Amino acid sequence: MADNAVECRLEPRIEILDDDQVLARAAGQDTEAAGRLYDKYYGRIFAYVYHCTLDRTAAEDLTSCVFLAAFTHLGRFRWQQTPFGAWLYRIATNEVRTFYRKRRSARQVRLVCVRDVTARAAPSADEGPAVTEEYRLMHQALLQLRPKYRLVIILRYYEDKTMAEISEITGAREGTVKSHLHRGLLRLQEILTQQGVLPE
Amino acid sequence: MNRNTERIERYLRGIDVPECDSAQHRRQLRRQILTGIEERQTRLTRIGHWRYAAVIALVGTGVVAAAAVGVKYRHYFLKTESGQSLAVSEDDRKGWSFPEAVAGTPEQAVETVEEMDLLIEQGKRELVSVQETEVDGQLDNRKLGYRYTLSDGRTIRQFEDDPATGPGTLTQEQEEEVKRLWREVLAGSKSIGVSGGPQLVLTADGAEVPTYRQTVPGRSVTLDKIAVTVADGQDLGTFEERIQGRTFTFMRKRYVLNDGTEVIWSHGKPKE
Repeated sequence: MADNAVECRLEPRIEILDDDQVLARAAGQDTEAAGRLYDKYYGRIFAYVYHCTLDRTAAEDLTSCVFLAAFTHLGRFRWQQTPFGAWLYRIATNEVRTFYRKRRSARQVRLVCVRDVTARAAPSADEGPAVTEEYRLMHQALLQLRPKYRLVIILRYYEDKTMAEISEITGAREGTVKSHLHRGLLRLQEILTQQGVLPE
Repeated sequence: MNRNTERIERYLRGIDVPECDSAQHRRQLRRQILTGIEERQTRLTRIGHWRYAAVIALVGTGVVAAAAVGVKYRHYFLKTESGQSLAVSEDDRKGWSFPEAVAGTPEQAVETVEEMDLLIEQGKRELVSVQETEVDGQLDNRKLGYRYTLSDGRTIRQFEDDPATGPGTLTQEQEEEVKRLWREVLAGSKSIGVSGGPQLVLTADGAEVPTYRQTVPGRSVTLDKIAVTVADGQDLGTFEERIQGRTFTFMRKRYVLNDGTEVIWSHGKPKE
């Protein structure tokens, strides 16, 4: 063996298939399986939550809640006929809804006490990735929509989910999802037109 | 595309969506989750092995063996659903896992780990290797390689995570890239240990590294061994550090992963 070689004794293990169901079944006992699932989905969930909040700190907190809940309750997942990814998105969606509710309550309190009606400003450069002006304007417009419209639009256009997947994630029927998407888009178009972002 | 929403849909599809990630948060959360799973496993094992002990008492198979004189804690042999063999001390301080081929009979496995634990208590295991991983300038993981010399002449070399650092925070993808940088062929490392198969490991340049056979508790098995050849990283030279009363000489290399993460890998051998 060459002088510059290093010997390592590795624990033998049977290769884990890169399949969500298999990994999820093993993840409760096997940190490697859990690590693989985490690595696969962290970026997607973080991005989804960030698109919903445009707030890096909130995105980190919510992403933590999503994964801690998921890995604590893996047993529940096994009983469901849902793809693991969709299950994670569902948890994330619920966390985002809770976040919106809390933020709304907080704002109402501030309205009474401080009379501060200013919506949360766009993040500073050190709060998150650099975003284009277009993206920021779109997000501000999205914040004016009802959460149920906002979420389906983000899932459809930012996360590239199909109607069936959005239905699975939100727990709404496909017909309802289509209806929410249509109404949300019309309202969004109206807002952006009023703001002069879209032509009349 | 609906005519009423055509404009907004086109506008949405044309928006430049920012790439979002938070590398530090990603690593911290990963460590938190994996540590949680390990802790839960320890608790479950405690419940599991008492159940198992109760079954043994009922059927009288004598699976539990107390081998070495002076052993402070007795061990229980367990087999998980996935086929992994475990020997767990009755106070749950420590659990040892064995590959199918190495475990031998339950009695042999228990004898082996009890002797290993005895060597730990007596301070007779030997620290023979240290591997450190620094990520973005901070010590991320340290693995301590111990050699146990058993009374029957067998030696067992075991890497353990330093409790001070835990299992580390590199993602699977990053670890694989580090391994690739070290010219370790992943297919080789993943396939070793599968019972019944030929035991050959290939290095990145295609050279075969033969594994070696050794008799472990009455059985001839192939131990898993892999040669990792140093790849081209930035050589940061060597340094010496005293660990557990022994001076180690570390060879230090710096790599930058595809995602920009800086990894410094140090491998220390005892200074002779």
